[in-house]
Amino acid sequence: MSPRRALVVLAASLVTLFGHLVLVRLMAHGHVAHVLLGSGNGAPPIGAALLAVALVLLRFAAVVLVPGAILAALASLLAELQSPGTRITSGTGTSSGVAGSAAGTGASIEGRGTK
Amino acid sequence: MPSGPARRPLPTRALFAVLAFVLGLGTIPHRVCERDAAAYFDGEARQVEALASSVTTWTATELAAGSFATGSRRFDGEWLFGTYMMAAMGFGQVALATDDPTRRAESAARMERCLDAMLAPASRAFDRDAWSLDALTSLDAPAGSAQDRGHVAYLGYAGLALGLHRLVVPISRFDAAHDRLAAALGRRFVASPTGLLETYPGEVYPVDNAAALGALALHAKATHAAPSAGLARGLETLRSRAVQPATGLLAQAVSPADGSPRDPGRGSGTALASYFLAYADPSLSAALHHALRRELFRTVLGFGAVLEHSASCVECTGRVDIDSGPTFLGLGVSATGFALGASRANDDRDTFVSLYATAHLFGAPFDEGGSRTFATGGPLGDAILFAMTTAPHRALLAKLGTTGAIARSS
Repeated sequence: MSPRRALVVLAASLVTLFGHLVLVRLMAHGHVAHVLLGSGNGAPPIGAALLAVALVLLRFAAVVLVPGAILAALASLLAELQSPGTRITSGTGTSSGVAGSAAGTGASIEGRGTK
Repeated sequence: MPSGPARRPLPTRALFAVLAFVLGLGTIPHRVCERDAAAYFDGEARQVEALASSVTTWTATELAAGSFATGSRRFDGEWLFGTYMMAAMGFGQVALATDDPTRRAESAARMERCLDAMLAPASRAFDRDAWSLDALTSLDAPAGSAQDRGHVAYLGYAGLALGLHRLVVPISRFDAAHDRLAAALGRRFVASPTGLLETYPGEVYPVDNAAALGALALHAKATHAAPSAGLARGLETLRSRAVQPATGLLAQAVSPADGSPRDPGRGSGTALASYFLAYADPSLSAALHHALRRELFRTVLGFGAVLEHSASCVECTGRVDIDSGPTFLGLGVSATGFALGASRANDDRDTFVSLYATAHLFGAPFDEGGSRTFATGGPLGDAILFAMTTAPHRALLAKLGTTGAIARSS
């Protein structure tokens, strides 16, 4: 995860948490569960149905996925801090880093072989 | 050798992020969701009162006959009745567990409002429509007559709540109705050809009978009378006919002709019966709870849930009805909610905590002004969770078993 992507994930996580809090409040105040129950086998009011679906999805994301996403983003940023040479826009550079790493491994094996 | 400053390779950083994500996924969500579970399990007053406050609001001002519309007039009535009954159980259990006279009196008053609503004609309509005879009117039918049978859903559940109230308030305006109701249930269990009573004509559900047996036990405890012969007969029938030998689960329905099981046992009925039977037969309650844990309880990432059908029942897969409620991957909303009560009544803290985490995740509790409502629960959901999270612990039940009504100064 690039530093830029980590920051995006952090921001999205915060938005998800905030949106979740707003939806729970709306649903509780609107007695949406009661409205849905009251619709029975008929089609429920579209607003209430959308709100309920949105809440379930957003709550699942906010409670189950967001903590891990935040940790992952923070871990990625921490890793970036430990390797200050890596730049946010260094997509190409990162690729060359992988190649360099592979070359280094090859050199190491070769070194063992000469002993 | 590469030249220039050493860089952390992308795969390492990605692996680091993935590991952090997995760590967060596996350790944080269930801990967040179960943070209130210990308070409920231990019966902490502030936590319990928040939910009680919400249930009070629902049952005092906001419910009406048209509050539920499942598409079936019968189920609408069941849900209205069930909301008042579960709320009454919650208030009664709070009153029974507390040593605070003020809190006890307030809970008793709240309970009585629910009992009044539960006994009102609107709450009896679902049973009356099915039988073409009012359940309370049937109490006066001559013993052994054709009308002196059944009505176990209404009478069993109502009797349980009335019995609990009598433990809290030994002398009240409900006593006469309670005595008549308990006498009729006891008489009908003795006279029943199968040892179990019908919920509706031609329909026998063991879980409803479990409620009625709890009602008979509570009546005996509250009045310091010898248990009805019907109690022993009903319990023996449940043990020998309705509990499945292979799994220990309770059949959801049995034949009205010979009492033979019509299904291999289900999560919702077994869990709710375990809760009800805690009042009548703690050992049978524990046996059902253990079977539920062994056969149907699952955890995912620390979240506990209960399957509605056993995995061994291939033909049951995906089958849902009004009892099971919605299911997801076979895990039932009703079974999981009722198992909260079964686990608390059987002092199973670990199961309670993991089940509560799931209820918290999907119930979406909302706290405001000292009140807690579950946003996806509505009045019935709040009332059921209130009753289940306040189910009596074994120690309290044992105390009831030896002393009947707990005398307290109030």
